[in-house]
Amino acid sequence: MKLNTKGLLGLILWSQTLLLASTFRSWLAVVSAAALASVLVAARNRPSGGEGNASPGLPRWLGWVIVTLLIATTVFIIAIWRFANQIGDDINPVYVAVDILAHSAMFVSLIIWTLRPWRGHLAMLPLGFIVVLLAIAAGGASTSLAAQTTVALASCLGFSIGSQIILGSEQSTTQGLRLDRMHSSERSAWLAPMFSLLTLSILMMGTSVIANATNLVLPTIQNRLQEQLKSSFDAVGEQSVVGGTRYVRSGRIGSIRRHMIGNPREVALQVHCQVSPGYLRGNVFDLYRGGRWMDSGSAEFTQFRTSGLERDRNILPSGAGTVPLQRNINQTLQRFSLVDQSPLQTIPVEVHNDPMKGPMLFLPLATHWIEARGREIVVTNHGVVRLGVDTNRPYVAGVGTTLPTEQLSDTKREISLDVSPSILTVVQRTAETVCKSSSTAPAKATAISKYFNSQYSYSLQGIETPPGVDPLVHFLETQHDAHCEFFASATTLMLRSVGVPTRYVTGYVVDEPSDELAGLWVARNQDAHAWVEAFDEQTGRWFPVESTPGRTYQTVEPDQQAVVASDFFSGLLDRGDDENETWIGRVISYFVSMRATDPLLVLFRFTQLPLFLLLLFVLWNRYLKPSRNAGDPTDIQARKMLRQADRRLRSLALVRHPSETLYQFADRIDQVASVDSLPYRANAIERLTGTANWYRAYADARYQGRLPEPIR
Amino acid sequence: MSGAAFLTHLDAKPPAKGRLERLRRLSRMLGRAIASPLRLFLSVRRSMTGASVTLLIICIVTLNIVWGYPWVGMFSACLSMLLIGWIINRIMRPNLSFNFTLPRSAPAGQPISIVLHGKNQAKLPAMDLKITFLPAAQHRRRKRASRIGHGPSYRLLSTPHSLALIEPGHRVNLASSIAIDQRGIHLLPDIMVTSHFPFQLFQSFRRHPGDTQIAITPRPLTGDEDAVARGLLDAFGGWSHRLLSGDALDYTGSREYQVGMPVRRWDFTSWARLGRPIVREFQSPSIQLVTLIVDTSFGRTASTSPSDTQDQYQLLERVLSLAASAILTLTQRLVRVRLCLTSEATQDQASTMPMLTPSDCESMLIRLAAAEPVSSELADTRLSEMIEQVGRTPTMILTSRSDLSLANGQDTGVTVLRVDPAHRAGVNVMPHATASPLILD
Repeated sequence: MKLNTKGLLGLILWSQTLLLASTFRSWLAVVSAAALASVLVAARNRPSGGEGNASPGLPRWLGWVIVTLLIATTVFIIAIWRFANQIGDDINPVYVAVDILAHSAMFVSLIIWTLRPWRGHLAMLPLGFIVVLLAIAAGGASTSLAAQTTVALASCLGFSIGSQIILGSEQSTTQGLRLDRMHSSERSAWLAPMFSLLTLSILMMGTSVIANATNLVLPTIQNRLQEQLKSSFDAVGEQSVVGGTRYVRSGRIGSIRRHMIGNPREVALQVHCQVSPGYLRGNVFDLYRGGRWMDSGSAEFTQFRTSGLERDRNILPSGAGTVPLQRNINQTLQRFSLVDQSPLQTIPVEVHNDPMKGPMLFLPLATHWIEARGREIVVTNHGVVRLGVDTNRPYVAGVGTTLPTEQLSDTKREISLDVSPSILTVVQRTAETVCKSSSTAPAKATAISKYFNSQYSYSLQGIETPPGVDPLVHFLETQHDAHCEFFASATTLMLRSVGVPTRYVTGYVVDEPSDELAGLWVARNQDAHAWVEAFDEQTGRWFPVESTPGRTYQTVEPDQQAVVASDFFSGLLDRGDDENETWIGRVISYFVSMRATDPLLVLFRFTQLPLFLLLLFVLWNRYLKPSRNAGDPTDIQARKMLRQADRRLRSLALVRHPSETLYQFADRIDQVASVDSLPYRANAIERLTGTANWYRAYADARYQGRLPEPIR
Repeated sequence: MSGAAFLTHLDAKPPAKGRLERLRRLSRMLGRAIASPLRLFLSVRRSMTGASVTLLIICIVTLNIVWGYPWVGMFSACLSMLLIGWIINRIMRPNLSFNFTLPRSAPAGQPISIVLHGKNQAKLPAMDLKITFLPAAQHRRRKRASRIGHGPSYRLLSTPHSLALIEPGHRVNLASSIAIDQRGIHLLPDIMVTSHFPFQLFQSFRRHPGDTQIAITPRPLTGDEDAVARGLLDAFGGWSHRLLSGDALDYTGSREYQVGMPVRRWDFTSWARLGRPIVREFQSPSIQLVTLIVDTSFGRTASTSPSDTQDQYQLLERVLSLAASAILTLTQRLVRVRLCLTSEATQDQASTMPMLTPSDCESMLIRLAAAEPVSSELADTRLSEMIEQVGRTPTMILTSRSDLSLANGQDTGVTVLRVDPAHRAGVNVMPHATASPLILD
């Protein structure tokens, strides 16, 4: 191998180093280590007999022991270093583990490269992938298609080169003796790189195609899978030691608390809105059993699905999204109308999820439409968008001035009033005591809310419920300090027991303005919350109920800001702004907004096809062009005739064997024609005989170098 | 008339043979379709390298994109390299044909230089190749049990050849060396061509049968091996010396010495009497032809237990080694040798002329290479016939049998050199080391 394998391996490792350092902000240590490794490698000269192990003078086993100890020590030191670096108030164990693992993999790769600079080691391939995977998982690359495609192409390029160097060098070290004249191999020396380049081009094009296809179908798959395995996720989430890593999907009482106290400062949502977005709904539950809330519309409650319960609605986009996003994603969103009534005024609320926390939409209660990336969405009978939205991209909720009205079906009413008989007595006794002077649903809700605010205290301390006792019964009887889930659950059931349909809602309270940007709000894990929505029979609308002590329900009010009066005018205004901008300004803003991965992507995208076509043409011209390989045109034509004749007879089970001469085949045809003459008509036999004669004539003509007569 | 028109003139009812053939083809296709997933799986598994295993593992890990992990790019890269890499590897599978340049015969255990002439028969170049004789450990016995498949009886002495590229229709010539330890007429080991294109992601194998025979002749016995071998060679040397230089010098007369005459013995008596230097002249040995009979039978009392059979085979190899040494020694002394083997029919050997030239010597060694054990009855019969045929020509019988009885051997002056199996017990590595020679005149 004539390539400078040492340098190429170094280049790949340096790319990994930069990615790692930029992701985990460990520039000094990582770059220093890579530089030290580079210096050591540069100082080494290639041994004449190929690379041995770490210490050529030592026995093989001792060399391995030393290397293993070296790697183990390095990993240990890295673990201590990275752990110490992450110690703080809000340490995230998962992030620390990712950090340690990624740095360990990088340093081990550098050690291996230092020991085997020319050939490397097979372990460098998975280690390299681990570094890249973990760096991306930790936020080293954007989740946008462009960034992901760039990562894919760079990985493809690096892995292909690394694999060729590492695995290919093992063979090249055992080169046998070739007796050819040298100029022959030198003449075709350029062909091998050319074929490699062509293959690399095909691989990269395939990678781009697969990345695009994956990006297209992944949201649907994610949502379907998430829906199918929802109950399993809940179970896993409940047993999870570390909270806060995923959005809370479970309805078990205590899951919100675990999410809040596990890495409480971690940002869960970012919302662009001119006013405080307030309460954003994530999950809505309507059935309570044994300390756990469930959704009657989910897959596990098939009896409700077959009954008169309103089914999930599939909604197709009504058009392209019109609200300009605060962060450009270079993709058009689709608008989906969630309610039939078109409000006059809406406030756009642009939500950015954390993709690592799972696909889930968080919307205000009064959302009338959403603009999101997707082809078709599925909305539950509680107004929660269950499927169809790519939550890796931002989505916009159009929040109206009024809540939509609804006519409750009997089944839904029954479910919304359901209280388990085992707790009904306690719940009803308390509720009737609290609501004895209230008649309407809002009045009852206010009474209960006041009751909890006056008689209870808020606490995030864990509560030990006696075995066999429902946690809500224990809560109502002992009046112990509790967190939002207890207050919301108790309120939901108490209202139900006095005839008010209710549902239990979990989500986030987004009311913390970001320091980075005006109009940007963040919700952290500690902002996870549970509250209640009750149905007012008089107005036919659901309304929020906040009964957790010290909390007040808040949401977007359209009159708080300059409302987007109309999407049409909004679009017009945008275009007007663009027109005021000069072309120089546009060019400058394009270059300013361009990311580091963009030129790479442009390079990959726009040079691949011409390169591929050029290589293909050169190789086709060299190897596959008919004029080069086919030889004499007479031969081509004669062979074509023979193939035609063979085809005719093949359907009659008369197949010419490779070892059979044309004369022998002709004799066999004659034999078949004479023996099996009965089933054939006379002219058919004549044709068979004619074909046999043609084969003989063909053989004669070919022997004499003439072009045979075509078969008739 | 077109083909379709031609066929319309035929009756629609095809012959029964055609229907059967079609049915057979259908069932074959069905079988192939059923087995295809398994075959595909096995094929992919066989073709995986360290790189593709890494890709597969990472691809499985990146499937976590369904839970929201941002590994779409990595997933695409892994999947594309796995799928496209495998397809390209299959498309670029090398299709080479091989010829060999090799000697007709070689002694057992000695290096054999073989030149492989490989030609790329595909339309695409063959890339990232590794060409080697299939290592003995991988050589499957199931296909050709008769070839060198009984354990690792051959050794690869040269390293595998790594080639970056062979253009379509081009040839490469590669020098290889192997050593075959087992005497016999052998096919060459199969050649394994492996392609690691593209980028070592996958490997595709193509096995080419080494359909070329080579005769592995018995290893000539040398005195360096052990005392018994020295004894056997001494016994043979003594016989041949006595035969060729001792008794065979005949006195033909005396004559006066002339300058330049070769002097073998002075006739001092005549010199004194005549006063002129007189030399005695002798005729050169009249014996120019020797017959070697190699008995390849085990004997009547031969045991059928595997260990005894193995010992007997090793004794036979010893006899053949001694025969090879004898042939080489005699031909070096320019003695014509007629070789007879009890494993060959007598009438076939009757037409065999005594050999002298080096190529003739190689032919005799090849016959030794092809020698097979025969029953003692057949061997006795053939021995008698051979002894009758050779007449009074000096003849030596090489055998390992202790129960050899020659009805007419004593009269014709046949010499028997027996490799004695009496002391073989307790020696299992080199049983011939304990065999002792026995001369029967």
